[in-house]
Amino acid sequence: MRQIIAIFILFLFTISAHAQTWTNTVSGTITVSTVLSITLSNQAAAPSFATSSDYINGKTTLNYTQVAIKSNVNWIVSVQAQSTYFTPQTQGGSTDMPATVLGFRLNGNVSFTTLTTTSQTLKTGNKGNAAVTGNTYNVDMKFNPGFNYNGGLYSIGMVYTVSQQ
Amino acid sequence: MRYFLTILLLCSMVNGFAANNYITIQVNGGMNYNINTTTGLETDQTITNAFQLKVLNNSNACHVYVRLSAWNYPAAWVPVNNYPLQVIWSSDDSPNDANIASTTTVNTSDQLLFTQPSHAGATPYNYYYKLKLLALGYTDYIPGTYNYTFTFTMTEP
Repeated sequence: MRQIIAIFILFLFTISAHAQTWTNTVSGTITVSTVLSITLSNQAAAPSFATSSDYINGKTTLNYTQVAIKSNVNWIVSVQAQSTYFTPQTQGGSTDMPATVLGFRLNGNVSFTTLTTTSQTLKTGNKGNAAVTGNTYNVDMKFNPGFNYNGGLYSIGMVYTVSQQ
Repeated sequence: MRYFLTILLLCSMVNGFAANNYITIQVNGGMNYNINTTTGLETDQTITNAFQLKVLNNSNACHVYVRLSAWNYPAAWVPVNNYPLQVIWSSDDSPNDANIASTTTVNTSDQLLFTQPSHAGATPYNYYYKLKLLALGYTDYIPGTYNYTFTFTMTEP
């Protein structure tokens, strides 16, 4: 009898100590891709060449375009002309005015880089949104066609590319 | 002999109770995120009806907890202070739920989701949850794959 009671008590302890916790798990995945975004805004109007001084010296437009970068990796922005020559938009315009009559620079820099169809670095920066220092900046343009081309309205594409450093 | 039979009967009863206590997880809307846009990085992403917990506890009241039990990340990632996942209670079909936590930011410690008084029968109560990924931003989470595991624990007081 005593032995049975002992077994019973032991059994109760065993039960009370028995796991009273149940668990289950679930898993998931967060995949973060490389994200790069470039936004151009506040583009100024194309300059007008009206005087001989304009043709002799060229014309500079400060803050011609504002560039804003958002990226989760360190980035590099490069610039190139979309075509070798300008496209005349008016009758009689020259078809041989090259992209190289344009120059670009970061606002605040001194020298201009000649625009070509080859990609050239404009700026590098750190990951972050557009509010991060250095991720929003302005670009100056210099237009200097000289006297070699007919009067008229011309256009050319300028390609900004942001990529991972 | 009579005592022995009593013990056997108790054994079978206890085993029967144990068989009617469980917690299971049913994934409905998914547990995965694919962040590949600026909007995805800048805004919270919520999966509605992400999962449901099925809770059956015949033997006693129980507390249900959640914690982050595994978190695997890209080798170059530098850990930040807070984990970006929240479980958000949507609804349940329990008539007497208690201590419901409406939003829980999951971390590596057990956090109470709700308390369920014991109930008879074999039909579990269902607790439905949304899953929210807080905006990761541009600097804290490098590109790559982050795997996580939630452990749900049902404990009797």
